Amino acid sequence: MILSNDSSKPIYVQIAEWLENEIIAERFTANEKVYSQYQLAELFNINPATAAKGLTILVEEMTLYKKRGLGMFVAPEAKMMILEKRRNETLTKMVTDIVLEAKRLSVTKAELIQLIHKCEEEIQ
Amino acid sequence: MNVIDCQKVNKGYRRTNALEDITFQLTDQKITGLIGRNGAGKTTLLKILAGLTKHKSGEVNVFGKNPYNNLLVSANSILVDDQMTFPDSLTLEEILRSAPAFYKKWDTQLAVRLFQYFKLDSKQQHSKLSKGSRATFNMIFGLSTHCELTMFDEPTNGMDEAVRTDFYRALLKDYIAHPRSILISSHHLSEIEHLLEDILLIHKGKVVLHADLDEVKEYAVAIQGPVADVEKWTAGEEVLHSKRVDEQKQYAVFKKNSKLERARLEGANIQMLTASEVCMYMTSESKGGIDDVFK
Amino acid sequence: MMFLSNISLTSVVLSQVKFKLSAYSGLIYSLIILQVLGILFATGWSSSGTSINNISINLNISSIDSGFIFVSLLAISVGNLITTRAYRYDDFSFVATRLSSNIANCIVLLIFSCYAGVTTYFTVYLMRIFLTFNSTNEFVEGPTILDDPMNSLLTILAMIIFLWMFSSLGYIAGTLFQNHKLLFFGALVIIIMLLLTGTWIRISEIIFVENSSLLILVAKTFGIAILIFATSTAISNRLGVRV
Repeated sequence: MILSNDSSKPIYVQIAEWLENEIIAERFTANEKVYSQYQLAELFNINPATAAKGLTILVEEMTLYKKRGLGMFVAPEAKMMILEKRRNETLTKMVTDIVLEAKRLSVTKAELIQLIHKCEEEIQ
Repeated sequence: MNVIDCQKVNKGYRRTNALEDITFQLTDQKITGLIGRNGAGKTTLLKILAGLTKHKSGEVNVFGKNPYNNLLVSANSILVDDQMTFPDSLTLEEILRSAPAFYKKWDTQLAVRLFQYFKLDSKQQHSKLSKGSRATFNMIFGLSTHCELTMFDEPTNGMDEAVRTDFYRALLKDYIAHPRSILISSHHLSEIEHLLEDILLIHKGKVVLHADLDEVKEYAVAIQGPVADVEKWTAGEEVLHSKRVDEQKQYAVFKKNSKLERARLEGANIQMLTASEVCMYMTSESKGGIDDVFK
Repeated sequence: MMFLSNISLTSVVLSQVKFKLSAYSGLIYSLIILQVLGILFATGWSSSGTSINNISINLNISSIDSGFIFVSLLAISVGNLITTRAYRYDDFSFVATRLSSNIANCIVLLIFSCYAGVTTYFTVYLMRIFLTFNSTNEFVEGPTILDDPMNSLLTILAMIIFLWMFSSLGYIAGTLFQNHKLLFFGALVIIIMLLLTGTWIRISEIIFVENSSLLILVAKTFGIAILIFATSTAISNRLGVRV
């Protein structure tokens, strides 16, 4: 993955999200050690302090836990927690954006719901 | 611990003020970007910190000492810039071989490896190098000193794209292996943004902003919408930049605030800015920009 | 955690001296050229002829004085040269303070003076070889260092210290000039005025002529050189680098 400077998201948020994606994809499983801030810094070519901030977010959200002197590990419930969070936060935010854009384009609520149904069918 | 502590530092050249009441502290082992437009005073500040020139008033402390004529500061700091010179009678190889006598933490292995990687000619003289190769050599020299305070003044001037990328990567890897305080000046923030922890933004000899990279990024936002709405949303705010997009629409950059969420719900088109854009708007001369010239 | 390298003034000065000796080694070539020139100018410096009983004797006295004058001029110009920007800036690419640079320069000039003094003294032997091969000379004679070793050594020492003093003159002139061109010309005007009023001649008589022994002269010259270097160091303290 290449991080984007232009993205609306700060780099440390992008790092946290990348780690979450890795956990969802089960490339890091429960109780497995994740990359250290230095490994992340090298991997993404970023300042180690920025990488550390990304890790800190996940520790605060209890997705990761610290073992003193050993590093950061994936919490047993991590995957579920991330999925839950994404449903709540990310999806809500995206839907808000859709609703706002629909309003700007004078798309009615019924039309919007219809569009969602259509998209869903196409994907399936 | 503070590596650098500047209190109300002033420096003038003849009638112009190069630095005016510069006050900031730098804690150790961070990579800090010294950002500012051409002529903002970056080079002057770095030269004072390296003890090469003397400030006029105020207090400058590097490792707790005034850097001017201080041996401890000289032994533990280096300023790499394009004015660095070495005797013509020595080859590049001889220059690198004389360094360990001066710099106790000199990393010979790193110097030799980088030297070979960048394919420099060991028998060449420093003054005969092309601008790009000289910048590369100076960078190798600066990195290899492993000085506790390593300063680079526009280090990539003259380097081609590939070397720049390699240089920044080398800097980061060496920093991870040997954490130390690094201060890089540049007027291309976007080029070094990913490396930085801190940004020290100076403009016209004054410190405008000294903050964490992410704080800088979130310091201001851009908003776009109908003229009347934009005026309403930015009323009473510190507008850094504003321009008319077309007949109906207005674009404005202003300090982030709590009203933003409401503006978003009211249909404002909010754009996050890059740190580089924030710095650019904070140091622009006029609120309108280049477009005003063509009015 | 920060680990600062502690480095003493002595060790920085030593490193700088070592560095400068290798960096400025090219100056030795100029010295050799001037010494050869000195020999060429010296031959047949003064001659006198007499004739006794049909035997004509032509006496040629050659000395290394001209060689020494050339080398002294070189000392002045080298002293001046190393105060120029390029040389000063080179120091600051490595660990240096203005004090350490000045002390190192002073020592390097002393080492060069030693080298120049000794070699110039011995050009007299080279000159004899040169004169022997010059067919017009039947006999080449002169004192050797073994005739009066103490005095010869003292002569060499005197040459060294004088060369060092000359280099200090070039050094202070250069330092003044680097500091401010006006300062340099101001000093020049004062010196010319001293010369015109004769004060200078009186001063130099006291210092250089009225001495009971060569050793005292050497000691005085040494003191003057030290004084000049110290003054230069004080003057150069406000000189910026890479400005």
